Formats: sequence, C-alpha cells, structure tokens
Amino acid sequence: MEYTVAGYGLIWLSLIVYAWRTRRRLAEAERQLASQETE
Amino acid sequence: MGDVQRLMYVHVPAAWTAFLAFFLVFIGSVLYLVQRDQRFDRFAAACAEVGIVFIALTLATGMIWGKPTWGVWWTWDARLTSTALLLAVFVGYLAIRGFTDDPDSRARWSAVVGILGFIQVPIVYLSVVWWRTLHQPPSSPRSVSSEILWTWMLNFVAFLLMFAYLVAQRSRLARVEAELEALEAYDV
Repeated sequence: MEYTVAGYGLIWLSLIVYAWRTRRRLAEAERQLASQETE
Repeated sequence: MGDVQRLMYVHVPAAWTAFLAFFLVFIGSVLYLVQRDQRFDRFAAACAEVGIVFIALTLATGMIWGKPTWGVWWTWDARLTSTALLLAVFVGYLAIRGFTDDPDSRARWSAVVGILGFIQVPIVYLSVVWWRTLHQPPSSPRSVSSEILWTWMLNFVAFLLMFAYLVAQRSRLARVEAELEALEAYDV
C-alpha cells in the first residue's frame, strides 16, 4: 500500500510543483519584459 | 502482485505521454529545419522539457513498483536502461540549448539533437522484443483486460490535458524569454 501511495503522491506532487514553477517563471519573465519595455 | 499493481495505471500512461512529447519534439525540429521559424524551435523545447518530466516519472513509478515486485529498485534491464538513456538524451538536448546565445545556432543544433534523440523512442518500445528482459513485453488489447485498458485510456486523457496545459505555459515562457533576449541584444 505504501509503495502505491508513494508512486501516486510522487506523480501528482511532481506535476503540481512543475506547473507552479513554470507559472512562476512565466510571471517573472513577463514582469521583466514589462519593466524593460517601459525603460 | 496485490495493491502495488495500481501503479501501472499511472506508469503506462506517463510513458505514452512522454513518447508523444518526444514525437512532438521530432515534428517541431523537422519543421524548424524546413521553415527556420523560431516558433517551432520554442514548441520543440517546451515539449522536450515536459517530456523529461513525464519520462522521469515513468522511471520513478517503475522503480517504486519494481522494489516490492522484483525485489530491487533498479536493474540494468534493456527496457530500463534504454529509458534512462532516453532521459539522458533529452536532458542533453536542454543542456545544448544553454551552450549558445545565438537563437539560430541554438535552434539548429537543438533540432538535430531532437531528431536524433527521437530514434531512442522506438528503441525503448522494441527493447522488450529485441532482448530478453525482466520487464514484461508490450501490452496490447489482447493481453490485458478491458478494465485495465479503459483505466489506462482514462489516465492517458488526464495526462494529455496536463501535458497540453504545461506545454502551453512553457511555450509562452519561451516566447517571453525570446522577446527579452531580443530587447537585450537591441540594447547592446
């Protein structure tokens, strides 16, 4: 049972963390672009 | 096999999603070399990064399943080794992208690696046919029950939706980064 929980936990946690990290990188890049364009 | 067989319901669809991702890298790379349009390069790079996530998860869930079933986390079996090599090839693809600042040269070299790297996908798939392995042979509708097949299909659709969302976000990030790069080059 613990192996199954570990596998499912790993898969969904990894996907959620990757999606969150990508969104954060995108927000940061968009912020930089906006500040460069106003300069 | 007991309860741990449930891991196959995410392991197999994750592998299918990764294969699809690398096929899209191949398509994006060919289109880039034919049309020299940076949008295809950005799409290929986005698919490669998300594909790496899915192939790493395929390996990880396989290892977690392997420990209680085979008694080991890892063995140098043909399927496992070729899958690890596939992961290494596409990690290399992303590494190559960091070697140069010139967008055209980066896209050209990445496209070559993306096309050559895709050759590893059929090798992974056929490894269980070509060599005697601990890993079971490829599953087909004749070798698994319809309940297992439908659960795989359902999870594959869920992973495809997740994949589409992640590639869309990652492509958007690549576009913004390209605009930033162009602005910085203009400033210099």
